[in-house]
Amino acid sequence: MIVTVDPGGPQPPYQQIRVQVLEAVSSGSLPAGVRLPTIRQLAVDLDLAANTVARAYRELEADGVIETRGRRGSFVCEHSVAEVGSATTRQLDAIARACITEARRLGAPTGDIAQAIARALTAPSSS
Amino acid sequence: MDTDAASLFWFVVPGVIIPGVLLVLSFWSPNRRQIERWGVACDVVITVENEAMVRSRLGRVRRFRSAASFPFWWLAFVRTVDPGFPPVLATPVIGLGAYLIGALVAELTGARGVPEGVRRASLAARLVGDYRPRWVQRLIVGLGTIAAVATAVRFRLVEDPSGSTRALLTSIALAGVVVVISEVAARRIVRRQQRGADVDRLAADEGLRATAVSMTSGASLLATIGAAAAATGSAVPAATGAWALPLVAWMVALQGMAVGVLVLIVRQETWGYRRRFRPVREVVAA
Repeated sequence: MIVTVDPGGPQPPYQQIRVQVLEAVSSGSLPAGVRLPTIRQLAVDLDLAANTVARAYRELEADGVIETRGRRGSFVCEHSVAEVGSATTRQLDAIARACITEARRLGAPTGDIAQAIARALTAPSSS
Repeated sequence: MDTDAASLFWFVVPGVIIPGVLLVLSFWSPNRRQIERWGVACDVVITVENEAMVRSRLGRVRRFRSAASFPFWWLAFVRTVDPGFPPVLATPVIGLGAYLIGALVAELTGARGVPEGVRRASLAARLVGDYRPRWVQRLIVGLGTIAAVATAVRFRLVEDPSGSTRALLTSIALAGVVVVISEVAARRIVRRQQRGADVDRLAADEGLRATAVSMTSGASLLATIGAAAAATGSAVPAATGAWALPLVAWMVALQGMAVGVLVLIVRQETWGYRRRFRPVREVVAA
């Protein structure tokens, strides 16, 4: 399993790591019980600050996807696949809230915001 | 050929020409055949993606270890020609030590590739045990234990242990230092940055990492073999003469083991390791 980070991307690097680990766990590429690289190892390999990777791991731990077993390292939790679903839902809620907050800052009424989201959902994907 | 000419010949040929040729050869990067041999030994498929990386890394280690040890090998030769030369710097053991230190420096230094744009890394945890079979670790511990026990026996049985006590204790202490340094170096090698993110380069990176860890554990093995040989050699004569034959067999076995370890280090091969990346592409246009 290869993790990819684009430092110039729209999401911060810790979020990119978090999302990819979530996807890997939910797809089964990272099965329960698998040991993840240490924070230092992943930070060195990706040429990121250790704090960045540590934040991604902290949030994954808060999502219930991984657990840290002392000095033995971080492991994918048992039953984490079910947890990933709720974690993804929480993440989608956060993205939607951020989008609505930004739209309200422009002075758009609720109806216009809803229509814009609906248009975006039905528009052909640019990627 | 008069005496002076003969002396000059025996100085120039083995002391200057042969080491000089060896030095020049060591500065050449490994050729295609050598890289493929390394790939077979390490179970890494050499492809157009990873060949340059393997050549660069193996060549760097060769250059460093040759450059570090060459002066000491040459001094060891000079000592055979001029017995008045200070012996401290002119022993093959110093040359071997410099050889291993040079290899270690090459493995632990070097410009880290700062990735441009998108960065990729494997989510597989790396542990020293992935690159060093358990039997190697057990052999190091076993030989160290034998050295310690034989030293204790020697001090218990020999009435006047003053003779070679200092040399024996020095070899035991030296072995301990080498084992500690090798272990620290192995951990740093395992942690060093992954080079390349496609499966071909990841496979080569794993092979190169295993080669480096094999070199450090080989250094530990050589040190513990030396300590075990020194300790048992000094302890057993203190016992009965019936031990003479087993002692000779033991020493021959240790020497054979040491030669095997040296061959592995010189040929840049591995003890075996846990492979996680297997290239799917077949080799490579020459």
